[in-house]
Amino acid sequence: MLRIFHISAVFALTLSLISCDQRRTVDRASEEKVLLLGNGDEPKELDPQVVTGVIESNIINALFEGLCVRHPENEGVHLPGMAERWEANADFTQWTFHLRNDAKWSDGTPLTAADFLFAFERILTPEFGAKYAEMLYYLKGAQQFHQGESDDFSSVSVRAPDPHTLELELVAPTPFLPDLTMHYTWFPVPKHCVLSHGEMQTKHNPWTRPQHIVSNGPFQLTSWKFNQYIAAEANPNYWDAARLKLKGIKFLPIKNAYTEARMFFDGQLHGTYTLAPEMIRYAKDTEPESLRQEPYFASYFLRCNVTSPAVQNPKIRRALALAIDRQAIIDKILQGGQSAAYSVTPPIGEYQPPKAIEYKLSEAKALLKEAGFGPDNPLRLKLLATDRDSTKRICEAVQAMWKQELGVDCTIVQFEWKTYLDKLTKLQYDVCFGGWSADYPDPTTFLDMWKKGGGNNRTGWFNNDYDQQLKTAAQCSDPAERFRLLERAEATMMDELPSLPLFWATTNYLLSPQVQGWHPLLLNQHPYKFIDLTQP
Amino acid sequence: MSTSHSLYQDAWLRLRRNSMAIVSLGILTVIFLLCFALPFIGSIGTPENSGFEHWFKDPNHQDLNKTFLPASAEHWLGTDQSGRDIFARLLYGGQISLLVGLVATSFSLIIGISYGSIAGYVGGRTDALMMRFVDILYGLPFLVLVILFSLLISEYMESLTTLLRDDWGWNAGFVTRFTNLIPLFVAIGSLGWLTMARMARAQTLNIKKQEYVEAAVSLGLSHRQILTRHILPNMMGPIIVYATLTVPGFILFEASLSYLGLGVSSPNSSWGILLKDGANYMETAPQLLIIPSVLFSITLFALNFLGDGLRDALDPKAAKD
Amino acid sequence: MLKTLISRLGQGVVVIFFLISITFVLVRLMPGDPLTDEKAVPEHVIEKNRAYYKLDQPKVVQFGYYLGNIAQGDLGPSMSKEGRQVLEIIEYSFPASLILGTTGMLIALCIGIPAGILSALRKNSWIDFGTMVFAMIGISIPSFVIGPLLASGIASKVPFLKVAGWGDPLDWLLPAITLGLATAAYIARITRGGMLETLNQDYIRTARAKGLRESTVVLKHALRGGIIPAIAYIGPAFAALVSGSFIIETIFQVPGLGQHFINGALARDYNLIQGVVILFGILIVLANLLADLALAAINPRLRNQS
Repeated sequence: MLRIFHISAVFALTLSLISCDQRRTVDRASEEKVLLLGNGDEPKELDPQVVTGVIESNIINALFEGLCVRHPENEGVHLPGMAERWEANADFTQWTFHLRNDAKWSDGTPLTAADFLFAFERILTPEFGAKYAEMLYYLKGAQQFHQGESDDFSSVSVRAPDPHTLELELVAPTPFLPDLTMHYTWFPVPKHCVLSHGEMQTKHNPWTRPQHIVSNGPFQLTSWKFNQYIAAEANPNYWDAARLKLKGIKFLPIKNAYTEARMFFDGQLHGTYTLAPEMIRYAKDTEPESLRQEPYFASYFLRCNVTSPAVQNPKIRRALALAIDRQAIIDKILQGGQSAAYSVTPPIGEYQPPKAIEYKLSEAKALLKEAGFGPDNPLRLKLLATDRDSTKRICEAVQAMWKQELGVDCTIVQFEWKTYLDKLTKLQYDVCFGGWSADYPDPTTFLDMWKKGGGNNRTGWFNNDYDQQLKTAAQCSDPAERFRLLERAEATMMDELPSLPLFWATTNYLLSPQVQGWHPLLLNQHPYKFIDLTQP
Repeated sequence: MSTSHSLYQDAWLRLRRNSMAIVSLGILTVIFLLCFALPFIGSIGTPENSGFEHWFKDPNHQDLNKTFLPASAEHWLGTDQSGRDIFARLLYGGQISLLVGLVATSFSLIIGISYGSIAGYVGGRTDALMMRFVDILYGLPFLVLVILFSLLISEYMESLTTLLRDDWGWNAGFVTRFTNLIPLFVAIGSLGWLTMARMARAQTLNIKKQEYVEAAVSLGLSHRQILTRHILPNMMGPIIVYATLTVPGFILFEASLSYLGLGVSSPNSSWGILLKDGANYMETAPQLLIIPSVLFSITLFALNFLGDGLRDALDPKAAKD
Repeated sequence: MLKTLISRLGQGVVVIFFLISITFVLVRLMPGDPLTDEKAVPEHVIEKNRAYYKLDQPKVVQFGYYLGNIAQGDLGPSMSKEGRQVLEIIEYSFPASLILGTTGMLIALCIGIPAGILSALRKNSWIDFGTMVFAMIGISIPSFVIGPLLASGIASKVPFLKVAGWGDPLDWLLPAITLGLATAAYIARITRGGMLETLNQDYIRTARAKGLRESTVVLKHALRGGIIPAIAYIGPAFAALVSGSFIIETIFQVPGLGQHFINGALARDYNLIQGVVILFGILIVLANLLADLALAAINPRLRNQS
């Protein structure tokens, strides 16, 4: 009995201690200028040359910086980062970047072109096994070196004539190279730090642990609690440290979107990683000022296995594509302001994809009849999908549209992620729900995947004309002309519909109005150095 | 009390005197009839000439312009997030869930009791060996097994579906709904009995040392007779109670497996799936969670009162009162 | 007694060896592999990574390496959280699960056993009925509903409770309740069943006839037999609670172990699954051993069983 009394006394004491500070966690954090962000999941690594995902990229962008820096409002503008200025030749194949003299690592060591060369060599070294090394294949000789055809890194055309100059020679005209340099695969890594914890090609090199890590971005890692949080504080050695308004950022690996939304409404987060469609309506009703719905450079579609008898016939694929009421799916299920896709690649800047598909039931019915299917002889097919809730709802809607309007007998087969990928890669499906998000703001990030034998194609479809059109566009150094060529290539593909476009994505998330300087961006990568927090 | 009645007739007589149990039995019968008979009557004939079409909806027919409708004469319990009739989905889902709950529980009862009581009764090395085998099965990563099951069996299920549908001419919707459950039964049947076996063994060990069992041994009864006449009837009480508790466990379990390719496939429903989807609309459309919860809870209450009644009725000690 | 203990521990080692071997085979039978992902990785890169994890070796050789490493206390590198060792992941995750599981179990025992005894003693009274209703609620409302209900119903209204997160001891409360509730319900119902069974036994009647105090009869005599089915249930249930729960961990943002059982399997992180399975195997063996010891301690007649 006495013990119970003791326990309750301690309990009451704890309560009174904690309830002293009644302010919400975010309000306290805003005062301390610490940004609290939900970040989806525990990152796999923080080594820019190992990781492949958005979650990791969100943290790495705070810790590291590339040659150029994103503009907080305008996707097309590149600000100087590690490079003070840069220039290219007329056809965008020769680039020179001039590194700033005051560039330093967070431990005070000067950052030089050698760190970039080291980073490029490390990611391209075959033994290192970097999964995303392809992002550097724009460099002349990079592909050969990475595939082991050459074992001398000097065969890759990157030069450092002096510690503050970096010269790159590219395979083809690449006007969007500054965009690429903002991708983490192009970031420098601290040669001195990496080598003091392992060899260049050592996998599982512990240099990214909080007690070891040295970085060059606006923030430096202070603690990394596995599955709990990752905290970073302002880096005093950052070249632009005077501009920084935040004192720190804390990333929370919250996997459950509903939990994340509850934490936001409970005042534990400034921003969420995502927002479940079911919660969008709730957010609109309760905190409309926090709901953010912004276009995102990603596309969702239904891949068709063109080697499967069910959808081998392009007429059938066209009929299926025409019978999907995309706007209804967006308005009633997704509710995130996405736009109905009429082609695979979303429009970006001057690039206008062909208007290949719309919702046209009569034509769909006629086409299916032509292909020999109807109510008496129903087309049977399997729709492969992952185990996510939102995917399930979209697939159910498509299935019902096909069944109710075309009489197609479609079965949904759901599998967990890796089984789904396995079936997809081995072409063991008829139709499959999928999506693609851009790595850089250029249509080729979508178009390249449908090339013959491409690893991400996964439809069995190919068309030599399409590949040729892409090749011609890649050699073209006039940006406007290049887009016309790419549009023509996309039209070629949409004639045969290896994948049926569904919708172009938006990002939906919650962001506290206390966060300043956070603007809609198509790639949803917000440069943290411009962000500020106002007092509650 | 007349001695001409058998043990089970006695039990039935005692059960009939337990009003809670009888009411529960009535409720369960009604729910069963609702789930199995009503959709059947409603789907007689083709949709065109069926007189019931206007009141019993197709549970998978969606209308995205009619989502989250309140209850009305057209849709008795309203419509769900995709504009489907909740009443129809609830009853169709009930078929799956009741079937899963009952079949899986029977599996676990049969395998668990025979395995556990034999281990406990024989004792010694056999017991140790049998129980360590249970430990191994218990420790295996369940999700890995489920992924493997769903993959290995799905191939066979596909051919079974084609056979039943195309060669035997069974209703396509019916066939796909139920062949999908077979892998689930295999998964549960192979692993769902472990705790039951441990409980049966513990009970057997306890009863084995009671005076009446020792008396039976000295009277020269065979092991089989001792097991079936003395040990099994005396351990049924806690076992029946535990069995009624496992039913909801299996029903909810089906929902989590349906996403991994086991269990009922989309867009078909089960109570577990309705609950799981409903939980996502807790803030915005609570009726999607409340309606299946109510029916699920009523069923479980009835099942447990019936289980308690059965326990009392089958208690051999009670016969002496 | 000591001999029994040593023999059981020896059996435990055998159980875990079989567990490792079977798991080793099963995880490699799953479709897909640890190194593929949404964005296709070129074949030559995959080869390099396969070689790094020794996945290019024959399975027997891999198994040999694995056993050798375990003997040295090394569970290998994780294949999904690159740069982390499996042992390290377990070290970070197990404490939270241990706290949560123990608190949950305490809640379950404190509610379940008294409720079970009371409802058996006052059979068909309002106490019995109330316990039944409570138990049914605990069992029929799954944790994926109770968790969010507690979070948005209680935590968001009470200032010192957080809807999710893991920091100070107050954060343990809601996940532990969610975790313990269903177990409490099971224990209450099972204890009730067991108690009813023993209360009808001859020796209880004898004890009562001898004029012993009712509390002595119930707590000293009836409970001994009546708790047996509950203990058989508690053993594995405790191992399950302590090894974490995926659903509760994601709802309340608990950095526990349960998610690795799921994520390890989904990501085909062979080393991670094998690691957590070994840990779970040890827990199961220990929990069942403790349960059996408890059974023997409660029921002296079981003591001479091996």
